[in-house]
Amino acid sequence: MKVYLTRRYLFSASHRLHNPALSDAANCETYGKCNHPYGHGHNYFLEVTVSGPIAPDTGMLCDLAALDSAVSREVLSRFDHQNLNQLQDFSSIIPTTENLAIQIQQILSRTSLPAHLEGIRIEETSNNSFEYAGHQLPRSLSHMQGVEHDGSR
Amino acid sequence: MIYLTRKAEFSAAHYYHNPQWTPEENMRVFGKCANLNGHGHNYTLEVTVAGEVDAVTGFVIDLKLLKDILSRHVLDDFDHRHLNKELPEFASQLPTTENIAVAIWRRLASQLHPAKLHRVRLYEQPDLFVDYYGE
Repeated sequence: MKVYLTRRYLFSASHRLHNPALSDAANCETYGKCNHPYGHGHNYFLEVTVSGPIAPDTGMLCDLAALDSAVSREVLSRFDHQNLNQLQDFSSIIPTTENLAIQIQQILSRTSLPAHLEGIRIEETSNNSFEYAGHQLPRSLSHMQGVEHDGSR
Repeated sequence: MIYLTRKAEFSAAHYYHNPQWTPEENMRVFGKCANLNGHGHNYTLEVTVAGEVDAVTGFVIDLKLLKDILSRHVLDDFDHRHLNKELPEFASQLPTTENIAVAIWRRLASQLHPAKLHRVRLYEQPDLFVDYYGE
């Protein structure tokens, strides 16, 4: 028996989307107001999904406090109230939320968590969200595998 | 295949206590959830069913029927109840969000024909939810 548990966290950070290899005009064209020179910020909601069997003695998948502690230590303390562009993580990549999602998933995949990491989802605003599960399809989209398979026959 | 999700809410009390453990162990593992006087939540339940669109009705499942099934098999028993004391599923296991999601799946899985139950998602709080796919 396998259950999936998702915990939601909040952190706030600033960023600026700018590719130094492009001209100012091309940056403006590509990133619009996200390219404004002094940056801007978001409240990012991060959802971390872990999975596994239910332990019979606790009725729980895992110790939530241990999950909170690991996510807080490895992710929230790293990004909360920071300028993402200034962080080592983004020294050579642009701090779009796509790249931020990949960074966070990779950080958590190297972290000792109390259950198996399935993937993460991050909301940049209430209208934009991004999911990343490493090399596998995010669980919420996993039914697409069947669709793709059917389509290939 | 199309997926339809219906949302419902119920409010219930529970506590976490493993009778094979000492009070200290229960407190260490379950923290404030171990208070034997119990506490409560407003749970949000999302039930996702999967199926083909019926050529005549245009439905995967009649929404009114789904609502009635949710009420009869889940909400009528769970809403404004004490899960430890009033639900047979939790006579021998703890009413954690994980176990509640599985219990709801077992109540609903055989009721939705010809659609199939795809997922039970249960929010204990806005920042914590469990998904169960019957695996």
